[in-house]
Amino acid sequence: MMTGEKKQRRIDRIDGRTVLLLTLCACIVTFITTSFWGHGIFTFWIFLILCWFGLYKQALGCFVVYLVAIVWLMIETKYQISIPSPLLLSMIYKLLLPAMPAYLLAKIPSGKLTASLRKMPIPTRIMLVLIVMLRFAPTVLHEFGEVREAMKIRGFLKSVGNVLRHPMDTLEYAIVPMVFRSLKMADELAASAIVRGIESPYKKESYYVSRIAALDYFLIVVSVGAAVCCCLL
Amino acid sequence: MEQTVKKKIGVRDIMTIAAMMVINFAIAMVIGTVTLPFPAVYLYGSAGIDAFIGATFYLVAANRINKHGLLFAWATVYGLIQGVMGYMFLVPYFLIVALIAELCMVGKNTYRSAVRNRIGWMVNSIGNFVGCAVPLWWSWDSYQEMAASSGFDANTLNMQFSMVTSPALMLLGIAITAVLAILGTLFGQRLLRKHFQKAGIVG
Amino acid sequence: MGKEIMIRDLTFSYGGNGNQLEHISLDIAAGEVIVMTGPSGSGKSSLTRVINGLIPYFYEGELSGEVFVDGKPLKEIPSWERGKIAGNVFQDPRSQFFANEVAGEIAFGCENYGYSHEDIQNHVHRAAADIKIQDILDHSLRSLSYGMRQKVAIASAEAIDPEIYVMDEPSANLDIASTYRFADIIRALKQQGKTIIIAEHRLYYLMDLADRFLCVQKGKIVREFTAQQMKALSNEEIRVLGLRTPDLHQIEQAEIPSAATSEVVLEVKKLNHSFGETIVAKDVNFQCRKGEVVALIGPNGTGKSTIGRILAGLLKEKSGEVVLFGKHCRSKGRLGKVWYIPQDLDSQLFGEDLLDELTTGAEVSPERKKAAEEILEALELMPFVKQHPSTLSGGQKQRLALGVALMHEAPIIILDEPTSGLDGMNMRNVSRMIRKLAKMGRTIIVITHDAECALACCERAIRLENGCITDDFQIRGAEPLLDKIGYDKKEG
Repeated sequence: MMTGEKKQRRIDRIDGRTVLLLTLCACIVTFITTSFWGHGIFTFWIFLILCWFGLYKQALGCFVVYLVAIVWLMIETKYQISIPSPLLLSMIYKLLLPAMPAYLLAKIPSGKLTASLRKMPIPTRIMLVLIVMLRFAPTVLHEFGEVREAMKIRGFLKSVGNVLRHPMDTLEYAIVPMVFRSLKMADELAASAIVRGIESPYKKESYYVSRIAALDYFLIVVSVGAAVCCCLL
Repeated sequence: MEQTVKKKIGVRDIMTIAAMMVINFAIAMVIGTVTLPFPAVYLYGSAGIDAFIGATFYLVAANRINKHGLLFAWATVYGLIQGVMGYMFLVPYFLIVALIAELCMVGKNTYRSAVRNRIGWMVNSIGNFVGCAVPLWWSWDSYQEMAASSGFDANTLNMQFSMVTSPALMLLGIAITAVLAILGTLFGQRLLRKHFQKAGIVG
Repeated sequence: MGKEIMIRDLTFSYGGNGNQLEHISLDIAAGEVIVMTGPSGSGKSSLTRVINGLIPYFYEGELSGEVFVDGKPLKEIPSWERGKIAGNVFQDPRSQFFANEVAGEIAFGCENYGYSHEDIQNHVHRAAADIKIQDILDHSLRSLSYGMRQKVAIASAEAIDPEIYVMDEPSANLDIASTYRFADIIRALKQQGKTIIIAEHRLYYLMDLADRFLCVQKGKIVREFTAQQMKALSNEEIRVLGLRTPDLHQIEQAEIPSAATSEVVLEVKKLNHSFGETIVAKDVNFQCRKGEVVALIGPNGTGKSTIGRILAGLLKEKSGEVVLFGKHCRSKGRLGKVWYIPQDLDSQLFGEDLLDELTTGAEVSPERKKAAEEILEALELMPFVKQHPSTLSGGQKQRLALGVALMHEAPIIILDEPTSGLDGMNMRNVSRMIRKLAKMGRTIIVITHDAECALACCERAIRLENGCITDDFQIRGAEPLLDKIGYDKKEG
């Protein structure tokens, strides 16, 4: 049997635009609402969505950090403590909310995301940069690790003092191999994309279905509703 | 004879921009997390530090690609990512920043001119600094409200608040960002000469 | 049926830097499997790039001459259409993928060529079924082994039904077992009548597949062999041509006296390590003596590199002990004493020229400069001293990395796949340098699945599988080693 019949993961069933909208809702809530309850409820909703997509660990992690930040902030304001800075805590809890759906966005298969993004009014080139950045992000992190190891072997990172005495050298050692390596990979990837017709003028469809389905409608309606309610709270 | 003629930004250029921006973002993220516990540094310094380090990557991309629209694409992508990360309503603002920065690069071969790149990058960095400060005021608001209602000492609060929002300090922040952006391009030009141009991977 | 290719008087240069290809004329019949081999930089990659259209569209330069596919000039086909004619597989499984997951990657070409959603799905599923990877369609590409990734690369090419396949060093990062599986896929494509052009250093897996072997040197096709003629070449001829050995069984083990002394410099006792559930080292015990060159062999992904990085102090062992010069040594203390050179050298080079590469990071005194020059001299790198390290060839970079280790006076050096992607001449050069270092009293561990390299420079082999040492033996003759590395006996 073909894999088409195979049980699909839930994340494969959602449209990229839905997640974008979720992110947008999260942004609006985080910046408009002044009530902790409204903010908290919406965060909990996003937490549930992440869990439903099987990202239990990450969802729980985010939610715990969120709660800790809020509780701590309350304690600080009550007892007039300012270390760690209350600004930091409020930023954590404010920014964590939009970061959660953004994480979901990064989890969508890139081909599917491309298909969804194609239906949005973003210039192709700008969109391509975004997609390729998503593709490069894990690779670059890996390369960073390699360069750091090489610096360790060479003794460039022997001690904090050593780094602080030559900060510019250290920076140079980190940047130079990264740039060489990344440019090489960028070229190879470009070559590989070109020989597979990335520049062809055809109208492009996708392997993935990009259709707003019942599930999407449900998520959109509930999320928008929740966002409005939470803002009014 | 078949020869290669290219004017517009092509796939290879896009890959170059993406690769450089990813590194830039990765570094900016590290800096962001390190400076976050110190709000004053975070607010006034992180955009500047980001500008300092990002300059090298920008210069590599600029000198390699040397096509108009690069800085616009760079700033737009930056804005869109900020948008997805939570500042969705700032996207139009970042588009304007991108446009102004690109306007600084009008002319022929400007993407290989150290001076023009310096100006363009500085404008872009200042735009980012101002853009990133806005959401901070936002989160500050909610804290302030809560702090006031729970009986926080008004003087302490005002002092903290003015530290974040006074116009003089804003100007200071802009100055810091501009200086760091310029220093960054100087550092970047040095690396260009020393490594990348020597190795022949950028023009 | 495959398509025929006709190349007439092809000349190409990258922006005036001498000709990469010089007046090449070549006819390739439909359904033929052609292997192009020759030293790095000889122009064989350039030739593949002309056929797939990357030259001159992507790699800029001046091209003259004509290429015809099925009688039609390639020039008249727009660059983006060329991908429909020729499917491509490249060398590096890390940088040729556009998508993050298997299905999207296989679909990439079809999506670009305007197939409908249903067609795309059909093509993807059929290609995946052909290569037998239909059950990993939703896997992330990063989680796959290099062997699996090359399969995905082929499936991705196959999905658009090209009549021609162009492959540029596709086996460079594969271990022997994966290479044989890769050969089976090529065999299947050949049976379908596809025209296949492979630029490759490693020849052994292609011996019963290829119709012709073209030897490319300095932009020209200098020799042409059938598989029979290729096999009949003597070791001497192969060396002169700078090739890798077509039949590994005919390799003679290098007759260099061992430089090993009786002094044990490295002792590993009951070393254990794991990543989550995966065990990468289980009660590993071994010793190395001063001046010894040891090959660390075994299938890919069995913990060879991890052990190398633990020994070098880059990773902390979960349990066990590493003893250096008779003293127990913790991971921090091993940094710089056990020197690890990874496969990918681009992330290892920091200097602005070769001398700077060796001296950077500390005060440059006249003595250090002199020492660095002597090292470069010993490694035969002096002619390139003014170049930027990143402009060196693969073999030269490998030697430079050895030089850095010498400069830091590391007594033990671990090289991770130092010869992958190297042509015969460079492989032999690097092997020679390794012997030279051993003679200078260094202990060297070579992590490799390259039997030619192991036979050229190692005296002992340790075989690792699933984190356990399965064999530890002195290399006496090629056969036992080839057997342990997994080289197929039915050939030769």
